This record gives sequence, C-alpha cells and structure tokens, in this order.
Amino acid sequence: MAHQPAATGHGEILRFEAVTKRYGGVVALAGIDLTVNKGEFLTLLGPSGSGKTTLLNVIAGTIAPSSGRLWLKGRDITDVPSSQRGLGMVFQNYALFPHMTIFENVAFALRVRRMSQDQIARKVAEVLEIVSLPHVAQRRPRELSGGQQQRIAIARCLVYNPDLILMDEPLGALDKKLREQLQLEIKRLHANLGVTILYVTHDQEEALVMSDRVCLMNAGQIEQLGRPHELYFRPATMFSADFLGESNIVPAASRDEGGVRMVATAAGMRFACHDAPPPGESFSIMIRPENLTLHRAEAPADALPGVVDEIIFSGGTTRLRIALGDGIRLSVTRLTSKDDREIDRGLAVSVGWSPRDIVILRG
Amino acid sequence: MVVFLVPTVAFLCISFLVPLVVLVTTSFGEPLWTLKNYAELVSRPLYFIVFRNTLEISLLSTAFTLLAGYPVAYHLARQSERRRALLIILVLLPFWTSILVKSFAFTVLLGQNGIINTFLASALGEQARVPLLFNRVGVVIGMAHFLLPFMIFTVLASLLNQNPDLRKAAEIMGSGRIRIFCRITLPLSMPGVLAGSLLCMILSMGMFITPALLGGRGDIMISNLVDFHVRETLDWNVAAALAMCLIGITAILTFMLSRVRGGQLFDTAH
Amino acid sequence: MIQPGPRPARSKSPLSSAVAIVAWFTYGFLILPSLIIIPISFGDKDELIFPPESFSLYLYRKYFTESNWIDATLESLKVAVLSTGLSLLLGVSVAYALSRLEFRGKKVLTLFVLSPMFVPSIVLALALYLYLGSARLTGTTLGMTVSHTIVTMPFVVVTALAGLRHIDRNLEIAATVMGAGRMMVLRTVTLPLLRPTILVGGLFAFLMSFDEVVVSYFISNVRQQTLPVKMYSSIHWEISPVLAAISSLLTLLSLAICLATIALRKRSA
Repeated sequence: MAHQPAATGHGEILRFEAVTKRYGGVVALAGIDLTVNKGEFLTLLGPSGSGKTTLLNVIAGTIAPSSGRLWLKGRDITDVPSSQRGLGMVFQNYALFPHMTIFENVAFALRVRRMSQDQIARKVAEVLEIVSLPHVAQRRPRELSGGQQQRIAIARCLVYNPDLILMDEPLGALDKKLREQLQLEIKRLHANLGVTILYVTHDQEEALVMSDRVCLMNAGQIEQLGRPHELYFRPATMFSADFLGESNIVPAASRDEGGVRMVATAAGMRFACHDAPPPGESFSIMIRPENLTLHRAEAPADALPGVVDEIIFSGGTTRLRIALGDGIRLSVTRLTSKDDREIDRGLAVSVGWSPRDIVILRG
Repeated sequence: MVVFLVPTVAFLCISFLVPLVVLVTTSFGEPLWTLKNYAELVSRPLYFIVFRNTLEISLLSTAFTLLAGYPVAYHLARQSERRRALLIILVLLPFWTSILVKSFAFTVLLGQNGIINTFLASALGEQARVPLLFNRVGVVIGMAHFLLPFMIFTVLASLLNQNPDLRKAAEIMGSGRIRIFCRITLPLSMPGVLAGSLLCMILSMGMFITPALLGGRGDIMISNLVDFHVRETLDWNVAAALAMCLIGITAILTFMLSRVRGGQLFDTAH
Repeated sequence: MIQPGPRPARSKSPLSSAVAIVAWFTYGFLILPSLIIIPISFGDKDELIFPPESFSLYLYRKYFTESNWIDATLESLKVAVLSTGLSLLLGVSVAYALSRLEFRGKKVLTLFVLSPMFVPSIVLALALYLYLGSARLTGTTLGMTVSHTIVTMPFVVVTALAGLRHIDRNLEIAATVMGAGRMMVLRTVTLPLLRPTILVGGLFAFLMSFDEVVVSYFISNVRQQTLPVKMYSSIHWEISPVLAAISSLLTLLSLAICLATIALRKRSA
C-alpha cells in the first residue's frame, strides 16, 4: 500500500524508510515505509506473525533491520544502540524489576540520567500521582495487582519524557473489564500529556478505541493505514474488511448500461456505481451487518427476500443470519428488542440495504 | 564482550587443554610418536582382564542401580508436591555426601568384623559370616550407592514429564493399574531409563575411589590400573594410553547419551 | 500431579504397595551410611563399635587436637575458597557471554567450556599430574586451586546458564531502552537477579572442591595434603576411628549445603 498523508498536522517524530527484516528465507518485514507524528497515538494492528512486534523491536533497537533506515527526530538511528535512542517501552508482562521497590523502578531512568536526589524524588512522586498510585512507592512489584503493575510500568516511561513510547500489547495479560478501564486511562494520559505512543495489539477493538491512526499489518507489509473510522468503513482490501469487525463480503460483477456503470451482486443487489471496476473484472463488495435492516412487512422495493437461518443473541445486540438462496447468507446486526422473541428460524423476512454503505473491494 | 570470554577461555586452554595434549603425547611417547604403549595394552592378558572387569562391574552396578532406583523414581513421581520435596532430601543427601564418607561407612558396615557380619555371627553363629568387602559385592554395593541419585533424578524427570491425563484417560477407559503401568508409564519413561543407564555407565567406567577402597586386590578396574602404573611401575606412557582408552569409551557413551531424548546430563543437579 | 489430601487413594493398589516397599528399602539403603556413621562417631574408644557402648566426644576432641588432620582441613578450606571464587568469576562471566551475547562458534565454545565435565576424573588427574609435575606445581596451593577450578567451573557454568535462562529478557531490554548501557544493565539488573543462582553455584563448587579426592590424590604430595586425600590414605592403609568424627562433620556440612541450595532455589522460583 502507498502511504497516506499524516492525519494530524504536527511534525514528524519517527520515519521508516524501506525497512526490511529477513530471517533466512523468511521475510518478517517487507520494505516498511511509515511516518509517526509528534503527539500521535499510532497503533500497529495485525494477526500474530504479521510483523507488528518485529517492527516495534526494530524501533526499540533489539532487532537490527536487514536493510532500510530508521529516523528519529531527523536523526538516523538505524545503527544507534538501544540505550542511546531515548525511547520508552511498556511490555505485556510489565517487566518491572522484581528486586527493586516501585520507587526505584520509576527512578531507574532518572538515575541513568544522573539527576539529583531531590529532582528524582520530586519527579517520581509527580508521576505516581499522575497514574493515581501515590501510596505504593515503597512496595515491591509482586505486591501489586496486574493493573497496578502496568500503571507503574507506564509511569516508569512517563517520568523521563521519552520522545516516543512503545507499548507492546500492554493490556494483553489483563481481564476484559480491567483492560477496557486501562484503555481509557492510557487514552486520557495520551490526551493530557501530549506524548507520542506507538502501540501494538492484535485486538481490533482496542485499536479502534484508542488510536489516532491505525496501521494494519499483514504478512510483513502495511495493509492499510488510516484513521479508525476510515479503516472500518472504507477498508481498502479484503483483508482489512475481514480483519476489522464483522462484515458481509459478496462477489459482484459490473455492466455498462447506457453510459451508467451498474453493479450486480450475488446477493441480488443492483445499483449504479461509477467507480466500480470495468466489466469483466471480478471483485467483491462489503457491507457491515449493522448497515443492513430487517423487514417483516412493508419492505422497501429493493429489499432482498430471505429466510432466518440462525439467531445469535449477545446481549445488547442480536445478529441474524439470513439465507438468501444460492448459498448466500448475510449477517444483520440490530439492537436487541423484546419483540425479537417472535423471530424464529425459518421465518420469511427481507433485508433492506443502501448503496451508500457498500464498499467495493478490488482483487 | 572480550572481557567476559577471554579470561575463561585462556584459563581453560592453559590449564585444561594443554594438560590433555601432554596426556596424548605421553600416550604416544618414549620415543615420541610410537604405538608401543597401545600395543602393550593389546598384547598382555592383564589388560584384557581389567577391561573386562571394568565392563562387568559397570554393567552390574548399573543394572542394580536401575532395579533399585526405578521404584524410587516412580514412588517420588506419585507423591504430592510437598511429600516429594521431603522425600527427595533422602536422595539428595547421599548425592551431596563425600564419596570417602560413604566408602568409610561401607568398610565399617561390610567388613569381616563389620556391623552386618557381627550381627550375622551373633544371630546364626560364626560360620554365618559372609565376605562382603574387598570383593565384587562390596564394589557393586558402593558403586550403586554412588550412582542411585543420578539414576533416580533422570528417571524422575522423565516420569514427571508425562502428561498425567494419559493415565487418567486409560483409567476411564477401564484399564487396570498394572496395565496402565505396563502400557503407558513404563514405555514413556524408557528414554529416561536409557539416559539414566548410560549416565551410570559413564560414571562407573571411570570410577576410582570405590574399587580402590571396597574392591578386591585382584579385581581392579581401569582407573586403578592407571594409578598402579603411576605409583608402582612409574610407567607414565602406559598409564596415559590407558587413560586415552577410558576417554574413548566415555566419549562413545556420552555421544550415545546426547542422542537419547531427555538425556540432559545437567538435570542431575536439581 | 495434584492430589488432594495427604494419602492418595491409589496407594492401596498392590502395584503401589510393592513399589512403596522397594522404594523405602532403597531410601533406607541411601541414608544407611549417614545413619551408622553418626552414632559411631560418639564412641569413646580407639576402635569402631556399633552401637557404641557409651557416648562421648572423644573422637571429635581427637580430630580437633591432632594437628595433621587440622592442617589438612585448613588446606582443603583454603583451596575450596580460592577455587570457588575463581570458578564463580570465570564461570559466571562466560555463562553471561554464552547466553546474552551474539557471536560465531557459540556451540563449540559451550561444549569446550563444559568439556571438563565429560572427562573421567582419573584421566583429568593423570593429565594434570603430568602437566603440573613438569611445571613443578604438584603439591602447591596454586596447582591444587587451578585443578579444582577445572573440576568445579563447568558446574557453575551450567547453574549460571540455567539461572540466566530464567531471567526475563524483557527486564534487561526495559533497562536498556531506559538508557542503561550493557555494564549498567549487568550491574543493576542481571547480577542482582542472578544472585541466588550464583550462591547455589558457589555452594556447589565449594562442596565439590572440599570433597574432591581423585585429582587431589594425584597432584598432592606429603607436604601438602587436602582432607579427602588424607582420609583416602587413612581408609586405604589403617582405618582410624577419627574418620567417624570427620565423616559425621562432613555429612553435616553436606546436609547444610543441600538444604541451603533447596531454600535458595525455592526463593528464586
């Protein structure tokens, strides 16, 4: 994928230039070009093995790229050792020093920077206040809960104002509720302190919730880069459409009728679309389940008739699988209502849709 | 990086590698680069007898160790975590005890006027005394005592590595305990048994103290012959050739051990 | 295996009972030497009697007042302390290089560093005897210390490698990213976390050296004897009852070190 202009207008902090990493014959990173802007929250999202963690480690300096350059604040840091890069890093397993108190953990980077005792004490107290754990300074990491340890790990980064904070699946070891709470907390810290964060996760929801921009990775390459909204509603590729959220992907074909390009899908939708691929080229369309509507009577004229095949109740929303014939099935997500009890398998319904929710997927 | 490697490597070269080179040249020595010393080993029946003794004693001790050690490993594997930690001290203590302490204890126990024979004599009369020391019985008892911890820890590691669900599954399917042992536990522990046995063979082939202190004068092992040549005949060249043979045997056994799955030598320290 | 309750139901099967009987017989055999040595050591005569007719500290007093036994003990202590220090210094640093640095020929080097472990002690003894003899170093503390270090260092390396494997690499990466150089990471993170392992390795090396007999027997002479060498000749030539007292003390030392390593391992886990 080509790169896209930066979403936020600040200056550049980090830039990759054709960064490649090979392990023997295996390509872990295939020529990555990417720019991270100052103050931005950029997430590297992708399935395991997509190269996101390798990319993070290349920045951290624990993996040397096979080729390509890496620039931090205009300085070529490709060959600069880890310790001289001035970065911060938060790990999935917290990586707090078990033999030091919380105070010593947070003070570590300040001691490396040879600050005075007074300054260290003041800064550590300040930052512990910021993560709302001012009373734990004299405890050991193992005396804290997982969530508390991760907040300390974040404080340990914030305390020395690194140019860029790398977060490697920092919430991966926490349970769902705590994870959601900390997501918001990190987002708030980011907004209030103006730090630049490069975040790695395989959890698409987490990426959508937290990021300014998401960099979706697949097989060592950038699949798509953009704001969460763009990625969700305007996926550029089949992989993007499939990886982010639920999607209906249906094969389609186009035909030119009197100067108008018409698209017909296997699900029976027909609509005009002037930027569809030319006739003869095979492609697919994608539509999100929440953009489809379910009708029992008084359906719009172009609604697609079908039969309820599966009902998946998941609390606030209910997902219905509608069989349209020819083996085509569409998922429809809607807010759960009390009347849903009347819907049963085998009920004849029709599915309403709008051409403006449809995304053309080439290739 | 150099700081971490060079002192150790230099130390080993000067005080380990060079002595081994001296040993090799000595075995081909007097005059230099002759096979005379090795020819001597082949030509005299004494050496053949000592090699056979060494092999017999090692095999016997290893077999005895396996028979006595496997049940201990099995017993330990089936204990609760806490009971195992306590019982394992009974195996660790002899493992950490000086071989001289053990040898001394066995001379006191097994001697003609030792504890066992005194007991036998007072219970069954003087003619009941049996020769247990300065013969093969004494050596095998002493060696087995030395080898047992190595065997037990190796077999125990392989038993603890087994997935307990396999036994549970067999039990649910209606297998009796003896069948479970014969068809599941025992076959799965074979790599451990093999590794433990090879380890015991390696250790016993080079054993010196136990045969010297508990064995018979006419029933000596290769190591004792090396000592004899150094101290009595002052024939260093033949001693070195003998030592080279011992290295060769050990190398072959060690290579075999490295091929056995789960045959990590280093597990024994735990 | 998790078994609720102290007595698992399966111990009632005939197979388990048979195994338990053999196992307990072997446990008994394993601790038998320690069990008979200790009562004998409290005998009050210059001969070995079990069980002793009356208890006294006669043999212990004899051990502590006979200067040649005490001299041998002090020599052993000196060599053990020196070689333990040297083993730790060389062993831990090479283990650090092997586990944390990238370089060619690592496998070969690992094998080389551990190789003294695979050489039978009689072979090592002869090699060192020939070599130190030609360098006129037999019967010296230096020769003895160097020889013991060769015997003990591979075990320190194995212990340290295992300990280093246990340390979470992310801790070192975290310190590095925060700006600490290699030496500072080593001093503030790696070594403090490795401390229990180093202690275990050190105790192990100390006991191995203190008990080492085959190599010492070859490279010592009449002037300079370690305790095990003196014990060996004593068992070989005339069994002195003082051996019972010494053996008891050595067993006690082994037990103490054995329990200390168990405690250290538990703490570092």
